[in-house]
Amino acid sequence: MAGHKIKLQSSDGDTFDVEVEIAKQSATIKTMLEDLGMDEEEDVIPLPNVNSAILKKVIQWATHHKDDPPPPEDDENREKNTNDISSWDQDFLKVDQGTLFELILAANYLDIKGLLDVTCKTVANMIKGKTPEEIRRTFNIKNDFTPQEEEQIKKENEWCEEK
Amino acid sequence: MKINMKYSCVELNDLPDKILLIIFKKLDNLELLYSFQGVNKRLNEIMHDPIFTSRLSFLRLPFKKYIKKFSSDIILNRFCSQILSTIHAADYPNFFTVFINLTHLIFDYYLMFHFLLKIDIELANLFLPIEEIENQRKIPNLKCFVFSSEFGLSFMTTVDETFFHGNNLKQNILDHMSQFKQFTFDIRSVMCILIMK
Repeated sequence: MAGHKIKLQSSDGDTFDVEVEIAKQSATIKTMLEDLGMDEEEDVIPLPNVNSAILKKVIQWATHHKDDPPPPEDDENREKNTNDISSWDQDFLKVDQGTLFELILAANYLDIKGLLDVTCKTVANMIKGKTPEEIRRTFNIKNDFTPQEEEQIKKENEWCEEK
Repeated sequence: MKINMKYSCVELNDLPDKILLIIFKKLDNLELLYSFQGVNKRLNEIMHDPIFTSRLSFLRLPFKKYIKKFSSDIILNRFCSQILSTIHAADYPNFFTVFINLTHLIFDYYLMFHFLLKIDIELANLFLPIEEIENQRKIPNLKCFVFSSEFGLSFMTTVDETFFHGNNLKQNILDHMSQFKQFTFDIRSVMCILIMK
């Protein structure tokens, strides 16, 4: 039924009224609705893995993309292209890294393929062209190789420098 | 409802392997290896998965025209001197296939590739006369791949006088590759003949 709404409840207890057709972009929610036969507006779907701030962003994304065609199936042989992010999505994803990663986790949990795809592409674009040191700085990653292990890696490389 | 967008503490390294794999698959294998080699133990292990190391192409093929992926020779040098050898150390050579542009790279670095058991070489950008001459001069150096058991050669070049001859290939390359078991090839030489009226 057009305009029919359900309630989504975030991990911190806030509830959001969302049109069913928008919510069904989440395969997780779609399955819940079908399996549980939930059709009353009073029914609340708990989403214990998504907090309010992220759920609000997810709903904003799903609302904007409600008329999108279904995303294509994964094809390992397809040319890898991360430059096809729409300008709306680019603006939408101008967020701090933590929010971006939480959106990825939420998209994965809620099984929203389009959102997962575009958020992962955004991270991929942040990675492109960076050296390992730049990657560590950008993403705050600690180098946990011991000096001995680094030395071992260097030794393994030595042979190929003999020309 | 008022919602605070509190600063989140989730970081890249906190993401589960499954998600990192999705992100890494968005990248070209070369880009991934270039950026993540040696960053930390966990990421190193993930990016050494054969799905990222079994096929490396140094060429991009948009609109059926080869171009170099790396515009900078510095990046290419680092890749060859540091990264390929650690893939070798990770013991994935059986599945390792390299697509490479002979014109700019391979003979300066053939030592780094000698561990490969299987190698496919695609030659590209051979349509400029200078590069063509340079490559033809270098072709006998392919015999350096003495350890390769499978050898694929895709080669097309333009010639002025004589076509690339199969005997050259046998005498200069194949006879020196005692260990190879399988050879697949697609070799074409093209001669443009201008008829002046």
